[in-house]
Order: sequence, then C-alpha cells, then structure tokens
Amino acid sequence: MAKNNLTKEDKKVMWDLFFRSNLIMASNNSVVMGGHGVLYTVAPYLEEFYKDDDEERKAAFKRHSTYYNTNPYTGAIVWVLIYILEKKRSMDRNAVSAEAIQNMKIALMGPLAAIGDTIFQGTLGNIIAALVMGLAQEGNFIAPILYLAIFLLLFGGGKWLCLSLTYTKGESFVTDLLETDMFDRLEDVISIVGLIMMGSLTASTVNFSFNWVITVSGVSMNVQTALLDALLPGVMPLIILFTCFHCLNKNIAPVYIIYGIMIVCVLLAYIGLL
Amino acid sequence: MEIRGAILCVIVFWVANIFQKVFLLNMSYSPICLCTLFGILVGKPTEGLIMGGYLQAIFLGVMAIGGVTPANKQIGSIVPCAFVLLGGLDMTAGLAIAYTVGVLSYSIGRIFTPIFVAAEPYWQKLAAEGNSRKYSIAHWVWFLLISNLSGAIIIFFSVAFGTDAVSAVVNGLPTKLMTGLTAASNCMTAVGIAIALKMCWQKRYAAFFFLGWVLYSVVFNPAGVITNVTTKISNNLAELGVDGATITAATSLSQVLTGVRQIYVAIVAACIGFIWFFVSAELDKKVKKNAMSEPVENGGNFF
Repeated sequence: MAKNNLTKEDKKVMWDLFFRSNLIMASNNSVVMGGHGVLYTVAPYLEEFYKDDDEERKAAFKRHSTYYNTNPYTGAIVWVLIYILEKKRSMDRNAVSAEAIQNMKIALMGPLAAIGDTIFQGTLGNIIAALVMGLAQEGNFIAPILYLAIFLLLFGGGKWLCLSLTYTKGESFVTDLLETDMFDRLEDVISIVGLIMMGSLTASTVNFSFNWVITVSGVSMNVQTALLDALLPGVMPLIILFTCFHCLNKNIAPVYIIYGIMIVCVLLAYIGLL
Repeated sequence: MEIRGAILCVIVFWVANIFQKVFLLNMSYSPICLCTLFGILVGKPTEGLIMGGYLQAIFLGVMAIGGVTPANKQIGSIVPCAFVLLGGLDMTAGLAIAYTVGVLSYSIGRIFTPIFVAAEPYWQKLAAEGNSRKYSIAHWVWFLLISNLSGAIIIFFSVAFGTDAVSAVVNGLPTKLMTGLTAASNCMTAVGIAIALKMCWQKRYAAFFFLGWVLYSVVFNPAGVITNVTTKISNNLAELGVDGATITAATSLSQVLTGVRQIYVAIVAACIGFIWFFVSAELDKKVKKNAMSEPVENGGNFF
C-alpha cells in the first residue's frame, strides 16, 4: 500500500509541518529545550483529530510539550511519525497507546540528533562556509547570495527529503504493522529502547561536577575527579534526576523544583563546594 | 552616534534571526550575510563583506551541537563589525576581539536563563488548556518579541558603551552567584527529563534505564575524557584568554564524543530490542505449547 500519488491534502499537511517546524528552536528554554516548538508544530492536527474528545486532547497536548531536543533537520522524521501515530490513535484508542507514542519520540531523539548534527551542521555547514569564504574575502558580492541559496537548497532540501520519505513510507508501514498482532510486542520493545535512550540522555545532558578539594592530613584530594569519577562516572546526574523524580512523585509542582535547584546550587557555591 | 549604531545592530540582529527561523534563509548564523547586511545599511557594503569573510574563517570550527555553542557566532560577529565600520577600529583589532566577545556573550546569556525558565509554568498551563490557536499565538509572540531579547540587550550595551564596560560589569557580579547559576542551568534539564520519564516509567523495565545510563557513562567512556571535565576546562580556558583555536579543539572533541557515544548506545538499544522481540515470540509459543500438551506417561515395557 505504497502511497505513490500524494493527494492535495497530503501535500498541504507536509508543507504545513515543514514551515511550522522551522520554529522549533524559537522558544528555547533550559527545561524543555525544543518542547514548546514540538507542540506548536503538531497542535492544529491534535486539535483536529481529537475535536470530539476533550480529555484526550488535553492529554495529547500535555504529552507533546515535554523535554525535546534533537536536530531540527532530521527531526522531521519524528514530527511526521507523531502525526501518523496520533491519527491512528484518534481512530482507534486501543490500537496505539499513549506510552508508545511518548517512547517512540524519546527513543528517536538521541540517534537523530547525533546523525543530524554530524551531517548537517558539522559537514555540510562547514563545506558551504569554506566554499564561500574565499569569495567573501575578495569582496565579491555573489558570496552572501550563493551562501543563502546553497544553504536553502541543501538544508531545506534535506529536511524536505526526511519529511516526504517518512510521510510516504511511514503511513503504509504503520498501517501494515497495526494489522498484524505484533504491535503489542512492538510496544514493549519501543518502551525498552526508549528507557535505555533516556538513561543515556540523562548522563549526557545533565552536567554537574563538584569543585571541592579535601585536605586530609596534608594530602589534598579533589572529590569529583579522585573519588566520584574514578569509581562511578556520571553518578551525580543520576542522583539529581532521581531527586527530581521523587519530588514529582510527591506532587511538588515543577516550578518549585526549578527554584529549589537554583537555590541549592547558589548555596553550594557560597559554601565553596561548587 | 553610538546609540544609533547600537540600535541599528539590534535591528539587524533581530530581523536576521526572524528570517532564519521563518524562511530558513540562514542570514544569522553566518557572519558573511550578517556583516554584509549591516554594511549595506551603514553604507560600507564592501568592507562589511570582507570583514564577514574573515569572521567566518574564525568561527568556522564552532558549530552548534544540541543548541549549545561555546561562543555565540552572531553576537561575536556583529559587535566587532559595528566597531570596525562605525567606530573606525582597525580590522585586525576587530578580528582579534571577535572570539572573546562571543564567549563573553555566552557567559552573560546565562544570567537570562532563570528569567526564561520562570515562564515555564505558564507554558505548561497553556498547553493543558488544549487550545491550538491560543498556543500558536503565544508561541509567535514569544518568538517575535522575547526570544531575541537577551542577545539584543547584550549587543546594545556592547556597541553603545564598549565591551570593556560590559566585561567590567560582568566581572563585578559576585562570582559565587554566577558559578551557582551556571551550575543550576546545567542541571536544569533534569527537571524536564524527569517530567518526561514520569510518563513512560514502568517498574518492570526500570533496569533498562540504568543500563542505558551505565552504557553511556561507564562503558563507552573513553579513558579519562568525561564531558563534565572538558566543558569546565573550555570555560576556564576562555576566562584565562587562551586563543580560540585551542578552545575550539577542546570543546569540539567533547562534543563529538558526546554524539558518537549516543549512537553506540542506540545500536546496543536496537540490538536489545530485536532480541526481546524475537525471544518473547518464542516464549509465548512455548507457554502455549506447555499448556496444551498431554501428561507424560511414566512406566511401560522396554520392548
């Protein structure tokens, strides 16, 4: 069931997603990174799919405004998958569970970011810049125009490629998958992969290191490098994450946790441990 | 005159950012386009273009991985450009301060993080209402008015009053407060991840979370190079005034290692997923077969 001819509505959806997702990093925030932008990208479709069901719509909005940080060009795969899966869910609540969508988003976040950053910003960006640099230093006015044109072609074209490939192949793939009875097991697999990626995500994005030197009978020891990192590197991000998790379980609002972190860090800095 | 130049810089910065995000016309991430635009508005297009070319060479190695850059390319290119075109500074002197201005703006930008984070509960409340039109309008308003505000303030004060004044103000701030706020903004993402984790946590699969963490921190950790340490090193180097190339090398090494390790963990996760998929199918079949089998017959003759 490959979609070879895209209808007019399909093309409209694809262009709409393309332009809305350009604004992903427009409301960058330390807590959710690109999360607001993701919700902005898919919000009209969520409203359209769940226009009869108030509860489900609010749950869907909440679901897609969590932490999200990926490369905006390869991330097009994820926005289209969200669109497809939410569409399937709105037609049949039991087919796709909410946790499956959440886990799929999170599992794809890390690898797409790594691949996209290396290809787009790392290789292509530097190639374009180096190409145009020589012309600019001579004072040739074609340099900025050439830069803008190549950038639009390569980066915009790359994003459109990811988007259209996922759209045409993705819908048929997901539909075939839902018709078999493998999807329950696939949901388990997605949640496992998602949890593994979240574990590695906490270790990579949360950075916290003490700056604390203990002097014991003339021998000075830096607690972070000699003790914590030598035994178990990255243990502080885990402790911080589970403290936040525990506070959330006790129903403390996130804003108090944020202010609490700030106050604790400033206090630690004043004592001299940071 | 300086105030007028500062306002011009702010306008160019703001408009370029809007164009970049809306139309994908990357005017703001490349010094060539940004400085040319500024030069055209001031009346010295060729000098702006040449300066942009040299600035691009300086910032060539600096790339934004995950939305976090060691030096802000936009501010670091437009402020020296303003000094050279409007203030009559020599071009080589302007190029020399480009990287330092970029790093300085990054450390000032951290002051604005708590202010932006304070708006987070309003976003969550807005999302919980479930109204797409209201959310879109709020998003556009934030994007157009507030998201560029921190950069605009830094540019305005740097161009109007000189970078020396700005760095004096930054040095005048209590260092312990700044260290505390920097560390806090580094671990602020833990709150976001905890909220996302709460939605997909399952007790029976809890061990996989720790597996992912162990794989990233311990197993795929090249000997002695830990991201925390390299980030701290690059920050300290910038404050000491080490030249840009070394800092770029140090930070790009840590960033590449971060990216590559994620891919390794993703490969392991995919393998575990496949194993689980096929093994659970077989276990299901075996359980069904055992439930249907007849009882074993004991005894009987040999022949």
